[in-house]
Amino acid sequence: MNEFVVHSQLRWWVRSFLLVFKSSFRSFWIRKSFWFGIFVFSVCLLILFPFALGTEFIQKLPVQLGCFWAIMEFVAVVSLGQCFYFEYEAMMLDVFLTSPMPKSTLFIAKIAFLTVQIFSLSLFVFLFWSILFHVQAIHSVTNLVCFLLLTFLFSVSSASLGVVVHGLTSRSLAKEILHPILFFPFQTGVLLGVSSLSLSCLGFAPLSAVWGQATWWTLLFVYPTIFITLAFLLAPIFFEE
Amino acid sequence: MSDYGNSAWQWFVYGSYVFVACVVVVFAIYALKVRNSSLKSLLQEGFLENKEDQ
Amino acid sequence: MFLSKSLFQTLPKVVAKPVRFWDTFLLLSALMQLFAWYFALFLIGADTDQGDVYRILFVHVSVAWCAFFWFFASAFFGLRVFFQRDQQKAKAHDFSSHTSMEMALVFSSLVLMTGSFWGRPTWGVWWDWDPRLTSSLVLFLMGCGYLLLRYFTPQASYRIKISAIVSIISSINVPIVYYSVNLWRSVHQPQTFVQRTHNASGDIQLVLLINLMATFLLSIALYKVRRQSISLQETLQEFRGYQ
Repeated sequence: MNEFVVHSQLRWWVRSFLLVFKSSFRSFWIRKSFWFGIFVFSVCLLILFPFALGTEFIQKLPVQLGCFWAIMEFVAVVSLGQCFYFEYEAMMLDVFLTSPMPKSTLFIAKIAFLTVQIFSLSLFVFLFWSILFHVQAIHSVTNLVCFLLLTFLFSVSSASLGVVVHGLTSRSLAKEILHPILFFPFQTGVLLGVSSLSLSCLGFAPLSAVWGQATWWTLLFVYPTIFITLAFLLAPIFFEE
Repeated sequence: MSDYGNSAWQWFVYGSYVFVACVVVVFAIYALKVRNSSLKSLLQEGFLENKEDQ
Repeated sequence: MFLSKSLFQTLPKVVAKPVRFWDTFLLLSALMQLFAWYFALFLIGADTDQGDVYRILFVHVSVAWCAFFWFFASAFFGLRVFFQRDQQKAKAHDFSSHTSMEMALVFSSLVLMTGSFWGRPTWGVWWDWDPRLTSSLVLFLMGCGYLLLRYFTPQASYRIKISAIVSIISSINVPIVYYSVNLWRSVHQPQTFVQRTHNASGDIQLVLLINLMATFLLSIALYKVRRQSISLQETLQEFRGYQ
């Protein structure tokens, strides 16, 4: 009997998760311009960075990688800024909150959707970045897979952190001030990790590391785990009446 | 080494101690002021009237 | 500044006693701190490499340890908020967590400033993107985020819980700051009291310990006074709300 209850609760949770996930995709599909807007913005930054830094300077690999991760940071921040916007606009947020579905599914599904959104943008940014910046360091499949894994971890870390920050500030007055001041300090670890590891991935040892890759890989896997768990545990608090 | 021994650096060091002292004093004054004004208001508004003396 | 005699006499003893006690403790700890600074500035000799500039470290290390302690204290009280079923006790723990975080913020700002004062003559720069400095700045920003979040969240019951969450998450950064000199290649010197580094001679270590104790006691006195002020402020607001 207990097994049956657990099994049915799990099925209910998965169905609720899929409902929110699909509705996010549907909302996004109706407003495709949002995704394209962020993509165009990131391409503009890819063009502006060489003007700002100078074409000689951007030939150095650490500068190229720094530009890539700075642009990815912009992509993550702009994507997260519209976290629950579609649901709010379509008044679906009220429907979700007043329905009997588990509140944690709203956060977890949002994290999943935002991960997909940021990662899909990162693929195109990566393509244009490697062309516009003449990136020659990625010359094997292993390098490429490692780099894409890093962008995926960056996407999931940013999405999980951003959604938790949204939850924390949902009932606060000055969200515009609170979002950056809560998001960026916690994001620094992820940013340092991905920029350090991307150099290591491409066979260059960064000067700042003594322990090298192990610590950073651990951090990049632990980060989303912690924030997804927090989102799961704290959803009832964030959505309490 | 002798560069750090001159009087300019000594005053710089004293200045840093004075700076830390000022920050701590300002914080203490602020905390005490808020506490005392709250106590005064509570007393004047009658909140502390029925508190038993120990 | 301290409680006036007339006001003190009109207060009931249950209120006046702790107020007078912690005022006295604050005065004594301030005097102790002044003695400790006197030792650091005048009684101990100059360093062979850094001359008199090294004396800034007696303040810098002391406030750094206090900042770490108050971040952990804030997280500790934040945890107690979650495990406390009684609303009034949860509120009390929330006041303690808030006060601890304010103390942590004051001390971490002093860490950054005194570190800059020391770094300018020794490293030649006011600031460097060194792991220890960067992680300390991140810790300071997390503290600012905590206070801003509290300030901009009007609903009290919700504010208590999310403040506790942020204080717990922020405390995770403290060991990162402390071990950053080991984890990454850093221009910042290693830990002073760890056996294998032996960074300081015996007399310097002694004066440093005296300063540590004095600053810690002073921070406790400031914490208690500020805790009293926060608690009384909240009580006053609640009392006025019921009128």
